[in-house]
Amino acid sequence: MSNSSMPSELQTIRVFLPEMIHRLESVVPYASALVTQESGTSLRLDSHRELVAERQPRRGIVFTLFNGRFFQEWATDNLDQRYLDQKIIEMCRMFQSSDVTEPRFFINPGEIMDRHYTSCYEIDPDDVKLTDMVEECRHLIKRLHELDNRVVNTSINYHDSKEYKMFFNRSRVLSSALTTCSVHLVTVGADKGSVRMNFISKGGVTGFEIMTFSDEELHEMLDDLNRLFMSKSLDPGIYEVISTPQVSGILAHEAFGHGVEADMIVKERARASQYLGRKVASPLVSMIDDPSIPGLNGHYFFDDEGEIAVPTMIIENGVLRRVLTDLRSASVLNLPRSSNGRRESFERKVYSRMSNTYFCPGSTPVEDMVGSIDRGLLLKKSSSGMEDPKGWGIQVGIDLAQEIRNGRITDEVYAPLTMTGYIPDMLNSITQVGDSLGFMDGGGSCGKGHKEMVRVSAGGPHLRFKVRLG
Amino acid sequence: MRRIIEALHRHKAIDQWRLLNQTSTSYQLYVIGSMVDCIRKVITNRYYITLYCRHGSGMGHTHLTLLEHELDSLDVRLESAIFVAGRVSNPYYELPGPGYSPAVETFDPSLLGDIEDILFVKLADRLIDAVEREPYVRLSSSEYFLDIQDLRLLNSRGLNAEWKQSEIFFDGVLLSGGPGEEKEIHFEPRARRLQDLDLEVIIRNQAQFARDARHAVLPPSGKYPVVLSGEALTHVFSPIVHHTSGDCQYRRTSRLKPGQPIYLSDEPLGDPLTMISNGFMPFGLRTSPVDHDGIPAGRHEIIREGIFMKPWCMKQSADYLGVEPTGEIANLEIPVGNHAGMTLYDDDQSVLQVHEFSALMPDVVSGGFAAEIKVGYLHRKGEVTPVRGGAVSGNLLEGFNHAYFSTEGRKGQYGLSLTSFGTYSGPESIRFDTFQVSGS
Repeated sequence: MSNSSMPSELQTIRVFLPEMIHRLESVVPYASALVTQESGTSLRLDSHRELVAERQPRRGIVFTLFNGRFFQEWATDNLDQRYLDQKIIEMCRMFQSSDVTEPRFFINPGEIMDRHYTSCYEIDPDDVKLTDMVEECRHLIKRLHELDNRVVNTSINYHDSKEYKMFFNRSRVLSSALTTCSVHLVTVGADKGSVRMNFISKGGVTGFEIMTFSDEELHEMLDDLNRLFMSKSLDPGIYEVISTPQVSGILAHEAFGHGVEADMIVKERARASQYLGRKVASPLVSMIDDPSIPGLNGHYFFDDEGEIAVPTMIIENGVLRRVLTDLRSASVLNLPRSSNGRRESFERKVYSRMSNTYFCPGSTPVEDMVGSIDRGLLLKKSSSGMEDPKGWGIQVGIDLAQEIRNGRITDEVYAPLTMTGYIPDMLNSITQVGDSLGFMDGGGSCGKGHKEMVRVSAGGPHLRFKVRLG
Repeated sequence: MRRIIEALHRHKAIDQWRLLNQTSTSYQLYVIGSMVDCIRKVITNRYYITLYCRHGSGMGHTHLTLLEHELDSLDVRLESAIFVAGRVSNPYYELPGPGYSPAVETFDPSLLGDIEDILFVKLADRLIDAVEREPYVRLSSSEYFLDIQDLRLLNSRGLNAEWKQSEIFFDGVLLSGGPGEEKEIHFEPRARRLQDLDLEVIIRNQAQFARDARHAVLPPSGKYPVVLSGEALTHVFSPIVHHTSGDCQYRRTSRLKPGQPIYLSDEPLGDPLTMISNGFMPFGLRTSPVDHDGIPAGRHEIIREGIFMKPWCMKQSADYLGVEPTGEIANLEIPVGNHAGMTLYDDDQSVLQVHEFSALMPDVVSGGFAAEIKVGYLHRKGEVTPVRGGAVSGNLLEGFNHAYFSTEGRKGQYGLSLTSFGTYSGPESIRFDTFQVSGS
């Protein structure tokens, strides 16, 4: 099967690569290849400076060979057939003369499949004139400066890309074409010697339609910016809180999600391995990772090891059901394979990685949740967190929190804060789960430690729980 | 390169250009326990082109990246880039011309030897042996990256700089404690030279942190002195670096003004800060003969004794501000203070030492931060208790109003002999008296 949505150079590769895999498998028990190509436009404009450029293209191929004991990978950005052919000869020669042993574990190449996938969007960024894109950004900057005279600088980072991916092993030839768009709008305000910043992000596997900002969105950003000038520091302690879907998402991803990535279990770095089938959260809590949700930033059709994207139920009614696997961890641990084998690019290795990770919605309207709190905080905005899969510790930075007093949200604002504690304590303290599901805005990315960035999204409903803040 | 340069000259709409060729080879080894998990080799060759087109009173510029086998489409790509550059307009500025390109040390020639021997014997085996010598700890996993790059930077004004650089990076995780109670310590040292990675020292220190983590407690909540040391110092200067940038000055988003004290409110109570951008630091991770624009490496005093002397500026901001360009911020050199390290803990009240945060990501605009403690110690009247969890919060711009620097220079928590985290040479510990601790 070929598809016209793939660039012609990649279509050529689709023709000759299966034979290369066949040759490699004459010397090793398993071989596969992943070809990726990413290109697009990047706009960076602010009140004082402008730059439009092509996104730094990432194009390359990685061959993965399993020699029975471990994986060996060879990667390059040179996709020339003759060059690759020569390298295949060298690899075959190397393995013929090296020690390929009886496999320590077997790799299932999956059912036979030949498919192509294309993502959906309303407006193809390639159909939008560059001049119009730039004007749109300039207009947005002007609007923000007119709305508030404390704004000293506004910057817009816009990116779109076409991501092409092809996976080959002896059973599968899979390809996909994804369109992604993201925009990050940052406003810096100055008042009486202090400088504060606030932002809006939008994006995902989507089209140029995200480049629309309502007056309401801009006013909310500026209101929060102004609130930040009045923010106070919070007395450290344990607080009753309600997280917005964005903060719930960061919790799902950072606090719990990293701990169920099965490569961490292989390394004995994940406490979750001892809790499979056991209670880890309040019965109100269920959590899913699902790369198949269209539009979201963690969306893909198959992972980087050729596994078709499907949802994985991680926590079901408070019980830990499944972990997220890549090919190696599933093979070694004899766990079901999930579609979470991902790599930053052809230049990096595959790990078990999340995609779109979220808490499932419950049944309580947000107004009822706020109305039932005498004294607490609404954790409104967060942009970062850090995982601790071994210790199940939480570190989530809160950029903005508003006081809840006598069932109402007040103008008392606290920032910045850090949420810390022990994840099961936090998850077991959840007493109310909101009735509507939301996801983090914007094209977020996630690292493993401080590297290996992949695009992800996270979300959930509003959650009510107790946590340490400082 | 010649083919690209000829094409750049052929297109008359291009007023200025910059071309960087980067060829890289990356060798990667991944180990779980003492078993090899994966071996990788990655070869790339890229040409990064920035072209500048004048139109009216302004100038637009854009970037494009070419791969080796894309040179046949060079003219089409340049035409497209010229169109793109014409869509935006900035005030004119000029690229630096040919000039002195200082000889700086960025490459370790010992890496030209047998790569397998370096990865397996000089790194992995040595690290595994070092862990085996440490009681009550074991190695979960380790990853080793050895990158060698050849770089050549040219521009339309005749700049021609060529250099080679190396980087060795490893990512290790140690575990300590009984089943179900194990704690982990994760470390990621990075250096340009193999000899700067003193694996035995790194493991000795990290093993001690791992053992201490087993009986670490939450620190008490309150406002009391906090001493940052080791990796916790990594991002402490980032708000000050942000506010002293030419970019920030030009955009008028800085709280600081050249010639003025950096202290914003009260009279400073602690040691005055001096901050130098040092592009010469041997084998520093931000050392290179020229920056991305082609500005030669230099040593620039950005802050002297608490006074903001001059912004660090890339060429564009420098031209706009009418000042001399310093180039990109390089390695940070902070002169040591007058306080012997241990005296920083002398106090009637508790003093918290934080050696590592889970992730310190300050808001560089406001200076605000809040970060979880990963490796810490509570010092109280000579007693030292390991601390883990809880958080420290405060403002890093205001924090220097009341900060004290140790006399000891950082030799490096990772055992790096010249710089600490590869980009910093300065006090081993800094005490801040204005932060808040959230714990028990």
